[in-house]
Amino acid sequence: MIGEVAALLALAVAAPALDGHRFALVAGEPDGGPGTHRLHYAERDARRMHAILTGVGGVRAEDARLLLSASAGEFRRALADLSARAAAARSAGERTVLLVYYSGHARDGALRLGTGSIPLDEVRGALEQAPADVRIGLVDSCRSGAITRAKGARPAPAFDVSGTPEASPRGLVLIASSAADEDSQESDAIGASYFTHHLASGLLGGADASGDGKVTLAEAYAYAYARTVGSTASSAAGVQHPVFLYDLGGAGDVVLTDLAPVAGAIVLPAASEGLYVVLDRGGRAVAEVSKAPGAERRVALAPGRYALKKRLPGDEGLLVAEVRVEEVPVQVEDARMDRVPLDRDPQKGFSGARWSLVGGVGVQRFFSKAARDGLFPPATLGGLELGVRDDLGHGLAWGVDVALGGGEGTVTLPGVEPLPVRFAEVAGGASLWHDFQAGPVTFSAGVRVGLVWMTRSFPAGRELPSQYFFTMTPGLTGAAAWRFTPRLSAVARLRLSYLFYNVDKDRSLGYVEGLLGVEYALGE
Amino acid sequence: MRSVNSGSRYAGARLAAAAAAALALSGCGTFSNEDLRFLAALPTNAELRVAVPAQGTPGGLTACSTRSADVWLWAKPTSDHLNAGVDWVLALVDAVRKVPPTHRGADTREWGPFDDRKHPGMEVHVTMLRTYPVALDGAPEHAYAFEARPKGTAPWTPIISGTFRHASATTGSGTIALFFDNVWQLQIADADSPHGTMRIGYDRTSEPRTTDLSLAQEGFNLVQFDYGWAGYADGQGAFDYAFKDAPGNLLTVAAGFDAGGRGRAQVAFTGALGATGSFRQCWDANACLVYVDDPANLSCPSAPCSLGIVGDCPPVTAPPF
Repeated sequence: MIGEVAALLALAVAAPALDGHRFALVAGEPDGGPGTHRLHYAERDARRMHAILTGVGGVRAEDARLLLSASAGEFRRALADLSARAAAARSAGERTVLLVYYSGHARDGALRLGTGSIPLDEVRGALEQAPADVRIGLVDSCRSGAITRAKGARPAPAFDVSGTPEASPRGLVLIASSAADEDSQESDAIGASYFTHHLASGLLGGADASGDGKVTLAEAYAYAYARTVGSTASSAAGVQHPVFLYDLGGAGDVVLTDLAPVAGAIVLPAASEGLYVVLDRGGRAVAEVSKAPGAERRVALAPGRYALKKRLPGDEGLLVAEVRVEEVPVQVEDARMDRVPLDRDPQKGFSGARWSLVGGVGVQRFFSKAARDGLFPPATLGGLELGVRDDLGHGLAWGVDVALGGGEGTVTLPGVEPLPVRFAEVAGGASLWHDFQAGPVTFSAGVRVGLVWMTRSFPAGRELPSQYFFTMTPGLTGAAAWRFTPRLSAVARLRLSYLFYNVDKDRSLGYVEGLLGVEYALGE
Repeated sequence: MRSVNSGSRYAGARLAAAAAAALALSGCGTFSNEDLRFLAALPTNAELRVAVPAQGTPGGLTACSTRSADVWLWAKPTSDHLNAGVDWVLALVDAVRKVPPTHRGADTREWGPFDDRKHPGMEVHVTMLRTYPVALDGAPEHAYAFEARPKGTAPWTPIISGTFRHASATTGSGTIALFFDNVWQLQIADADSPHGTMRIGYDRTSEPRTTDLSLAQEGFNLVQFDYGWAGYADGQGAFDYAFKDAPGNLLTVAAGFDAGGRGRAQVAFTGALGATGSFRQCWDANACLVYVDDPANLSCPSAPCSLGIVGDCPPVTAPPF
């Protein structure tokens, strides 16, 4: 979470100079007091909006207040402080914009901040009276539409923006995430409330329907409305309709975010179509863009690595691409994205293949005594295995291994003096297995196909030539791994392999390999 | 602006290709205990080598108070020539140790055709057959044949045939016949190779271990003779050999010796001018004569040749005086 916010805050480095001196109060309160359950994402929503407003929303850091789990008193004081600062700026001749965002519980006509509450009417009144040219209230909470009810607010997909082009907008806009009789919903899938997630996505560029690099209040609302209704249409809690109260004079619209000064961005070309989700490295949704063909769409992002996914129609899977955003926009075309099955959805915890390296030593022993005494004496092995998890889907992991080893023994043949033999082996294989977690121990079971090259020589053996044998050895593999640091695990591995020996006569042989080693998790 | 270029993460195709390749290569090699059993039946020079404790050079300077036992001193160069002949044969036999069999049957092995590295343009083919004349769990008998021909489609010409009874050449007995006329015909003979057939017999089943080498004609710097060697574990032995001395006399010797080099010999003499006769002599560890019974004075340049008493002879088992 901290990393995610830091990434978004980095946008502030290039904060655009938008129209007016802007002030913002952003509050997130997961606790709604008795009778409510704790919200999972209220604070994250607030952090996200704070980062966007201070990054591309023209709000200077010193003019923004971020309140997390704050009391009603702190909320009031912060709002009063910002109002006073807006008044001072206005007195100095500046145009001013005051924006208040709240994510949390609302009940019985009041915002619920822990054990305290603030009536919606009070919030609305404070905004109405605030000494700023434009006052904007954004409330993401259940039944928050009540804040807009008095003056004929309506659940509509877009503002009817009108006014005199020459005049700057002045007045009040209230936007609520749901109607007065609706619940506002969170989503574990996106890690946010639906409304804030879509509003934030719109502000980062998803709502820039005009393609001018600026997202206006009307564009952001229209986008958030459509996406929130669409996302909640099939939810168990019922569809959620954002509502607004729009009372702006003048030109009638306000640019909320300006994306042009931000260098880093993902650009969806004009031909792209569909719902794209930008995820951070933790798999959390950073932005979501519902893209229609015909115009390029740009999503402003702080430098960093992201995953971009697009769900294909039906259950055909996903398109996924890893994107590194730096100081230039990165264009992502569908054709360059990987097609993956649905269970490799990075938003559901799939963070790409995990690589590990196991090193260890062990022993090899054939079950048949005749084979041990005559052909394949017990050997000591040392080996390495490269394992890859979360790469094939279906919970399967795969790996390749190589081992070197050898031993000494005596070959006993009828009527012939016992022959000392020196035995060496190079083995390799590919395994496919499934992991089973049991507390701190991970068990695995799977199959393996190996290749083994064996050679033996006879150091005291009458100038006998050395011999070799090469074959494929299918088998089963199992292991138990106990992780004792984030990167290191102790591993005990057992393999049962089949070997078809066919030189003197056809014989089916089996052997077991036991290995003790250490597994090291590679990568980040 | 740059574009994303993501590689596919699927490894399935690569795994399948690797598995298919592995399947195609599986199950091959020379890891064979039966090969070892067949090879164990082939003699090495350790089994066939003739070893005598003679030291010194025939006719050379000697510090003996009597005379040097030149007849005995001829045993060493003679055994060296015999060993050279044996090595010539074994060089061919050893070739099969360097290449894996090309065909394996339950009781047969075949090698080749493979190139004869010593004779470019020639190729060799070897077959071995194992039988169990008494019982399957009894001692096996092996028969083997080496054939050679110019590379191509010419008929195979036998150059060596051999038999061996027992599982291991270190404790069994066998025979080898080398067909030098065929070797000469194939133009792979050495300059000193004999003609005719050289037959080698060896028996290491009990004491004494014996090696016999029968030369049908002169060759390997050896006169035509049925050479015989017997050795005991304690170093005693017997050696029947023949040689021509500097004047061209043919001496056929039946000698016995002990581990220290003392010995006695019964010698048949055929002079270069036709005279015949025999004499007996004994020598000490320094190859100095201690007893000579040579009434015809065939063994020394000036009479009398006889010296000493028979009681000074070492107690070796052969030849009986």
